[in-house]
Amino acid sequence: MTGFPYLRIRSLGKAYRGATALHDFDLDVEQGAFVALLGPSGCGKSTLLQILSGLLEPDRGEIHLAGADITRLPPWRRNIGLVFQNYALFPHLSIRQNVRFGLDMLGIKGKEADARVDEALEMVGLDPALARRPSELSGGQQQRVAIARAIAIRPRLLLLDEPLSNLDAVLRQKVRLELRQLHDRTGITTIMVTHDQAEALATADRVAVMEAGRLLQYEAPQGLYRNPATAFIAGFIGSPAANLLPLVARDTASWTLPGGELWQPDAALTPARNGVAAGAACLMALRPETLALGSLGPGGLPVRIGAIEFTGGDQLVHVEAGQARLTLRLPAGTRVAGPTAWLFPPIQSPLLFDANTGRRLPTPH
Amino acid sequence: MNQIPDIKPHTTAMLVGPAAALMFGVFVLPFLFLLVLSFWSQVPGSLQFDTYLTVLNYARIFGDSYYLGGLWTTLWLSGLVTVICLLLAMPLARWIVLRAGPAKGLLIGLSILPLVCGALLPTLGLVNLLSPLGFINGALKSLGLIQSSLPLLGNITGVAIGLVQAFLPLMILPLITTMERLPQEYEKAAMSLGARRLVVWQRIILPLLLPGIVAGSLLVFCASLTAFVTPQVLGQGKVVTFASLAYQQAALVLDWPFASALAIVMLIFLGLAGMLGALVTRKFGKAS
Repeated sequence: MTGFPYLRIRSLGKAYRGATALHDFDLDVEQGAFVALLGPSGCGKSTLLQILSGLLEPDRGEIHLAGADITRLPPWRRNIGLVFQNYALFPHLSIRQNVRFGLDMLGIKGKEADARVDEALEMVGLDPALARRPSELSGGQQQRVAIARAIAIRPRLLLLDEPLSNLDAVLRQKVRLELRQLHDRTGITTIMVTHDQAEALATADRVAVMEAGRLLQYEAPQGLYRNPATAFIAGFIGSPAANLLPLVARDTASWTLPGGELWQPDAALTPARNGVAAGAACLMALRPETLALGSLGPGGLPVRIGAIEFTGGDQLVHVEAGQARLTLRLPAGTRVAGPTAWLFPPIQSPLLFDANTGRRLPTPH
Repeated sequence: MNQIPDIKPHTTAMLVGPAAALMFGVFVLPFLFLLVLSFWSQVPGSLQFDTYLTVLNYARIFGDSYYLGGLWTTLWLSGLVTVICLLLAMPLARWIVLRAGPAKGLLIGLSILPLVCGALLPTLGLVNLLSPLGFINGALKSLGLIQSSLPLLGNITGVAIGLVQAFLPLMILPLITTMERLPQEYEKAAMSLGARRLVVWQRIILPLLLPGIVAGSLLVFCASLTAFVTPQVLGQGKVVTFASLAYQQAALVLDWPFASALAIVMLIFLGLAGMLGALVTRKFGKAS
């Protein structure tokens, strides 16, 4: 490997009272990248953020930033900007004093400090003349101040802890676009912790999916969507996320559905073509937006139509295949005739996972 | 917005009336009497009051080094007790808030125990600990650390120990309440912005704790200023505080007008302490 990545995390480990929060964690981040740490609560992503900022000491492992080992450096010497979920603006200081705090610590005074405060506030779209206390601002404005405070010190790394989760749904869409634009303007290497896959896919260059203190997959959003490494990721990514249909190979050409019904799929989806031995259990990921309904034909999966949700341009159709529940996303105009129908999965690049390990099964050639 | 239901005037009167009447009868009226009394004087050789208004009582307090000395001792003793309580309570409260975990309720309960025990019993217990033949001197002697007993009773040291013991809860409680409202993220944010621990304390924690510090200090200072039982028992009559002077005049000498004047002077200092607290909060609490 040539060249050292800007941020390099190696075999990082951390345990709280015996419970492992981070397990042998590796991650490389290129300079100027926007990386999302994605995972359910308790997956260790916030622990990682605290360790990166120096607020928590790891049990094992190393962190290198811009070529230097920062593993044991105290937080005040790291020059890493941190934005908290609850913003943590100092309530006894004005907005300008909040933004100026880090500059004071760096010994930047007078006109230069004023200019940097103006610059940071303008960068996040706030009026630099805003002479108010943090408590007088709305949640969205408080967050802008928190970001301005973090970027005013021109950090080597910007860490965002669930930056959108305290905002309402409408604002969240707007702010996530602004976060991306801010990153593109400043070029600050950014790591954002989130449990919302839509947020991660929409903003980040690369997404690191975490589960139970481990890194499951680290890839660009498109790659993550097309090639999920595990069933957990497939069942997590996309809106709505992929259906995971449990199947048992009955013979070389057909599957048993949950509940015992038989499915004879298209030749591309048979157990034999996908290297699944008879009797083996696996999960097939079926993306709601790639499924089609039709009348009886070869390869169709027999389903019963359930509830239909209208979402505007689309409708979400809930169906039952044997005892498994699946969701389809169809254009709003599509007529759905019940009570039974046939479901046709796409025959290109099926996504099959081992039912026990959750690992992706090798794609057939 | 919360909708406040309409309350009719006579309902208000019925709700507030009983407590107001009691307060007026047993507090406001006697207090006004006390104020007037302090400007009267005792007819020499009798228990009769001379109702001619005079400032002689006050002139006597501020002109006599015995009373001035008592006032001065009380003031600096109360200040000392306040500072010691603050220094002891700050780390204790922070530890309880941040680290105690499930034991927090129990620890808060234990730390306010001196408040609910009354003043007399713990103070008498302290006599056993502090006296020349008491536990502390005995232990230090048998360890060979001292030759003769340390004077811990019948002096300022003993009184200060007793007052700190009695009033520490008054400092701990406001500090805990204020600290609990302070998210940990403030300190973390400050550190990530380059502030070392000392700077975090100076610029973030202390300014935000100021309301609790002022409230606790006022409570301890005022309680120490007016304390009677503890200085009396642990001072063994050798430490002259303002409350004991007032007691002497009211209960032993039976010069009520002069005792009233002493009480009013004490109240003035309580009021001054309160104003100083408000001033500190206003000056340092808002702007940094």
